[in-house]
This record gives sequence, C-alpha cells and structure tokens, in this order.
Amino acid sequence: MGPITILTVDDSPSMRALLKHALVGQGHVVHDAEDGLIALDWLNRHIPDLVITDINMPKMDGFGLIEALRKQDRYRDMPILVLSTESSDEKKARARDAGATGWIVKPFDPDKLAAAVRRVTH
Amino acid sequence: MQHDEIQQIFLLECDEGLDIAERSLLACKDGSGDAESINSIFRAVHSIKGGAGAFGFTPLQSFTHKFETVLQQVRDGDKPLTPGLLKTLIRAFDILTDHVSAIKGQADAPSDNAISAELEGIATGEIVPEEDSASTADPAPLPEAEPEATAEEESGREIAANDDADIDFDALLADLDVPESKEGGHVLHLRPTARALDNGSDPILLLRELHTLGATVRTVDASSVPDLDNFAAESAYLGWEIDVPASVTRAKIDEIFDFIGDACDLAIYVTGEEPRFVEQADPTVVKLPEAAPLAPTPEPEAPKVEPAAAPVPAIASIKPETAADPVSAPPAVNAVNSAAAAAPVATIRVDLDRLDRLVDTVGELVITQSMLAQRLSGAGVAAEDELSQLEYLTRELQDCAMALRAQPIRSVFSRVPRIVRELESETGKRVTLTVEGEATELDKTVIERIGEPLTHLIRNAIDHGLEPVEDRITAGKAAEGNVRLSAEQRGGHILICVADDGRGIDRARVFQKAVERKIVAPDARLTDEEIDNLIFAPGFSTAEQVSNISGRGVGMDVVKQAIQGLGGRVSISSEPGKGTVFSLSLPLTLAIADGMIVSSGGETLILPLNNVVESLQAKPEDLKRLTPSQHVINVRGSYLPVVPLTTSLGIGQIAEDSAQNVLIVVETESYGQIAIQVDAIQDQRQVVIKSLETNFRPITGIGGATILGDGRIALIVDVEALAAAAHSPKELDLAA
Repeated sequence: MGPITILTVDDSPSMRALLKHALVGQGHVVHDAEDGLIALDWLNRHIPDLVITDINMPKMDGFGLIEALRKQDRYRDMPILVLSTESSDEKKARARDAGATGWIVKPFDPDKLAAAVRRVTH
Repeated sequence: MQHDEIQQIFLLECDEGLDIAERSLLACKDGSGDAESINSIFRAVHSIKGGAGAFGFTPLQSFTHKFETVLQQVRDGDKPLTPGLLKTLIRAFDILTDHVSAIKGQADAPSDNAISAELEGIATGEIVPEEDSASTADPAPLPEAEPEATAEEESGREIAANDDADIDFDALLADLDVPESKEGGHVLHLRPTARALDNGSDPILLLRELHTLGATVRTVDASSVPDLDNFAAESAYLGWEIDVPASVTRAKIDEIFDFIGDACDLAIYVTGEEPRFVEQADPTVVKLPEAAPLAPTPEPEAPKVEPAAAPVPAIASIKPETAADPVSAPPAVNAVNSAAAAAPVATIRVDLDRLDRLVDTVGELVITQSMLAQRLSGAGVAAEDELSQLEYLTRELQDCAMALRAQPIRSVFSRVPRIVRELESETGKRVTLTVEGEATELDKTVIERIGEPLTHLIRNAIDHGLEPVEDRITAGKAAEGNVRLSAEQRGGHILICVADDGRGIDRARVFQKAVERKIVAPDARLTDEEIDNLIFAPGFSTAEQVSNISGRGVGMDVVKQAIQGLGGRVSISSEPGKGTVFSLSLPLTLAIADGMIVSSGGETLILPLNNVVESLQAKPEDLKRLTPSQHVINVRGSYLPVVPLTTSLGIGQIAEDSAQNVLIVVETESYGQIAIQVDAIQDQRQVVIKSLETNFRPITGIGGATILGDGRIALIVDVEALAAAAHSPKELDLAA
C-alpha cells in the first residue's frame, strides 16, 4: 500500500499532532480539521483517501460528520475510521449505523493504527 | 514535531479544558448552566483523558475516566444534577486540577482515593450525594466490596468493561506474547453478506491482512454466485474457509473482524474442531492448491463453536436522525448557545521569544520614527502628512504588537473560586464571590506575576476582612460575606479590585501594632489613609496568631512589592463595619510608559507620568528650609519634602537659586507626595523602557532607560526609590 491522503478530525490539538506524527511517519499525507464542520468544508474542496474522525467534538460531532458524508455520492464508499476513547458496543453500533468503516480506540498504538488504515484502504 | 512538543500542546490543552470545565461548573452552580454546560465539561474531561492515555499519565487517565463516567450519566440524563452531585463534581474538578499540576511537575500527585471512590459509588448508584452536605466535607465512604456486585448493578459492570477497554487488554495480551496455549491455529468460515461492502468496507482487505499474517485459503465456496443477468456488483456471493496459523492469536483475529463482524457470517474454530465448510460435495467448490490440509490438533473436548468476534446488538431500530438535521447532536444535548460554550477562537501558538523580539523591534521602530520626525522638522522639511501617517501606523503596529502579549485575566481569576471554597471550609465563614471583568486583558508578564499577590489579597479579605458568621449576624449583616473581584481598563491602566463587606480595618489596632513594631512613633499623628497604609509596611502583621491561611510568613508588604515590581500601585479604602477595598492599578504594558521629559543639572531625565500629580513654578517664599540641605514646600496647606533631582541622584549640580526651578509633585506608594525639583519640563511622550539590569546594571533611583527621539539616552527615574532616600532621615528621627 502506497502513501495515501488522510484527513484527521479531532478537537484536541495534541491528539491531532499525535495522529499526524504517527501517520506521516508511516508515509501518508495528512490534513487535519478540528471539528466536523471544518472537516466538511475541507472535504467539499478536496477528496482524501481516508477520513479518521473523533466522536466527541463541538459544533458537529463525528456521527454527524459521517452521516453528512455518506449522503454525498462521492463519499458513499470512502473509508471512514472512528477514533474514540469510547469502546462500547452501543457506540460502535451507532458509528456503524452512521456509516463508519472501522473503529480505533484512543489512546492508539501506532502499529494498530497502521493496521486499521491498511484494513480499510487499498 | 517531537513527542515532547506534542506533550507540551497537551499540557496547554489541559489548561484550556480545565478553564472551560470550571466556567461551566460555576454556571451550573449559579443556575445559568444548561445541557451544553454539562456537555462541555464532559468534552473537556474526555479530551484530557484521551491525551493522558496517549502520553502515559496513568493516574490522570484513571481519574478522568471515573470523572467522565459520572459526567456521561448526567449528560445522558441518567442522573439528575442535584446540588449534592454538583458539589461532588466541583471537588472532583479540584482534584483534576491537582492531577494536571502533577503531570506538569508543579505539584505532587494528589490523593484521589476518597473522591475516586465517591465517583465510582455515584456511577454505580451505591452512593447518593448528600443534598446539603455540610461545608466540612466528610471523607467519602469506602467503596463497596466487589463481591456485592449483582445483576442489578449493570451500570457498574459496564464501567468495569470500559476500564478493560481503556487499558487495551488485547494489546496487553499481545505484549505478553503468550502463544495461545495448546490451540494450534484457527479455521475461519467467512461469508460476507451484501452489507459487507457498505460504508466503504471491503472484505478482500481483511483477506489480504490475514494473508500477510500467514493465513491460507483452504476452500472457496462459489456456489452462490448467480448467473451474469442476476449478478449485483455490490453484493457478496463467495465464502471462504481459511486456515490461520497458530502465530496469529485469537485476539488478533477478533481485532481484524472487530468492526465488520455483523456484516459477515463468521465462525472461528480451533483447528481440527471445525465442521465441514460445505456440506455436500459441490462442483463449484474450488479446491485451492495452496490449501494444505492441516493435521487436526488433538483436543479432548467436543468441537465447540466460539462466538464470532464482536457480538453486535441489533441496530435496526437505531436510525440516523431526520434528514432535516444533518448535525445530529447526541441525545439529551441541546445545541444551546451558552456563555460556557463560548465559541473557540481560532488561535496560533507562537514562541514567546519571537513575540518579544517583535515587541522589541516595534519599540525600536517607534523610537526611530520619532527620531526621523525630529530630524526632518529640524531640517525644515515639510512632510507633515506622510509623517503623521507614519506615526499613526507605527502606533497602530505598536498596539497590535502589544495586544499579542495581552491575555485575558480570566486565567488568574479562574483560580479564585477554588481558593474561596477552600477558605470557606477552613474558616467556617460563608462567602459569595462575585467576579467581574474576566475578559480584561493584561500583559502576559503581569498575568504571570499577579496570581500570587491576588491570591494573598483574597485570602486576606476572607481571613481578616470578613467576620465570622455569628459576628455578621450580630452586626445585622447577611450571614454570607461578599467578596468581589473585578478588573477593568481605565485609561492607560488596568484596575483590579478586591472588595469585601467585612468589618473594615481596625485602625486603632493597626496603629497600636505599628507602634509595637516600631514602624511609627507612639506620638505620630497619622491620617486614616496613612494608618491603613501601615499594613503594607515590612514586617507588619495584624493577625493575633499566624493563621494557616493568610499568615504564610509573608505580609502585605510582599503584595505591595510584587505590584510595584510590575509598575503598579496598591491602594486601600476601608470603612469600619462596611468593608475594605484593595485596588491594584497596573500598567497595560511593561514595555512602554508615558513619561515626562525633564532637564535637570544639564541632564535629560524622565519621570513616569503615572506618578506625576502636578507641576508648580515655585516661588522662593513657598520653600522652607528645614536643615541646610533639606527644604519643604507648602502646597495648599500641606508641606511636601523638596527633592532636588540631580543632586539626589548624584549626577549633577543644581543652581542655588531655586526661583527658576520647577517642582513636580509626584505620588509615591510608601511616602505620600514629594516635590521633585528640576530645571525645566521639556516634553511629555511615550517612551520605550529599556532595562538597565539587562543592559547595564541596576542603579538605585533609576528604573530604566530609554532612547529619545534625537537618539540620546535618557534615564527613567524610580520615584519610589527617590522618595525613600529623601525620607530615610525622617524615619531615623522617628525611630530615635
């Protein structure tokens, strides 16, 4: 798998920095956004290969972002990973229902992050 | 970006999170909170937890987890936010603050056993927060023993499960590197359903991952593939029987199928225990060449079907929110705009050194601009329009640069409620704190240094200012004392006030104490104001006994020194029985001051304009000689000491004939007004303060230096030190 373009969405600057550090280290191109609305705005102008989003965010949370993206044709099949400290089946089911492709638990292990990215991208 | 730098970002984030959480908690307390308040507290704590985990701050992570669990229950409407619960949350917040200080290395890790147990108890429903718990908080009850757990404690179990998830049990197991005992490998029977291609998933990627782990396909079942006419491109028709080697743990397999579990029919068997994949021999079953048959592992037990990974509850009932609202908020959270959920402002973090370099450079620019103006006007060049435009732009630039260093005082004020809470429980007094003007901006350095003196003033107000509850009631006042903390910009200054409605300063006692401490002579006649100011004298303390609260070995003199060190002033106004107000007047910036440019003895010097009260042309008869070298002047009835500027500083001679001299009356903190004698006033303008300590060495009586428009260097007079020198003989007289 070659380098891909990834948009990360998290309201925590340190989490964004950690993600960027890990993903850039794995050879990917990383853009980030601090909430769902900013992410949507960016996604209206760019098409990444993968979106990794937090759930709990102000303005527009991760579920809202995923649902909004799945309504757009060009994002109907794009892989979207959820990155969250929560790991309850209920939340995962909610994410799956919203249209998430996969789930990563925070704090993430960079290897597991890499595996999760591989698992959803060609 | 290095890990350390990211960690630094996290620490800043913690502060921001704590700030938001505290404001929201206080909003809940005073009744202005709403659902969004709780949500923003939850988000802040949640965010800190995430980072704490990422950076390995385990105690912080574990505490935030317990805190978050309760917050989540409140947010989701499972628990009502009773006053008792709010108190617990506020105490938990205080401990959280301590935890954050601990990871910054500013304090030891707090003991959170009691509050943790309380939070856990509340989460499980074992503890109900007392509705009106007394201010002397009892230690929280110990948690119930674990064996008590029964089916009804469903929520408690859930937390335990979450705990495991946070620790990331799988990773731990993987780290332990224990080969799954006795189990050989696994055999997977995998049949993706049509849904497996939804949401951007692709089962082929999972097969690829298994393949990289050494798994091989034993059989492909293509029996369900329809003919071309009925073939749907986005459906799934194949099934696989896959051999997974023993090197891949069960946990790893579960992880791979974690999220897609319900979109596949998946069964995982221990090798040798799998049933036949395809019951009947079918011509469409393709035997793959690499599918080497594996010898069955002897297992005594009967074949057992392990449940597929990630049991998923039925989700059909949960539907996305209505299409009209793409921004679907979680339930029980209304997107209500509240003060607590102030919109985050887009920010950029800049290294402070760079900022200071900018401020410095702009300072130089201001000087150069005025030098240019002076040179041009001296040369008779008429360029007034451009010149005034340049001056305007330079000022504008300067204001912008200064604004970069400005920060709202909120970060300091936000620590006060906690101090008040602690003092309430220590003293048994009841206090209502009012905070105003939190958005007022001050220079970063001032913000950093104002905290301690302000804390001291607050402690003083509650410990010494407010009366005990009984005394207040006896005096006909409300049992709850009021302390008001405010900040506002007034002209070129920031005014911070700490006001209490307590007993006021007991002047008789203050005077008596000052006499005992030989600060004043027993027969000194002092005005009320002068008596009040005695509490700022070094070594003065009115506390009968050194209390745990205000008497930490420092007195109000330290407060005064700290404020003066920032170029500010402290004043008191007190009314017996009504209360006391401490006012701190602080400069907007430490880098620029308004100065009065004077000449004296051939030197050009600068007096800080904020000290200047008035200037007088002295008539000889107004000056009275006290000693051969000391004069006083009668200014509207009061005699002020006359201080010849240059001779006092030892830098020049003053003309004996004082008739031509100008007297500038300045206000000082410790010595009241003095009249500084100079030759003439030249100008009044903003000056950029250059530190003598940094650039040369400290000189008593000189507070700094600046560069004038014509390029000359002028010294800035430290009026306070000048007054001290002028007064020291008088003090000696009193002591005698």
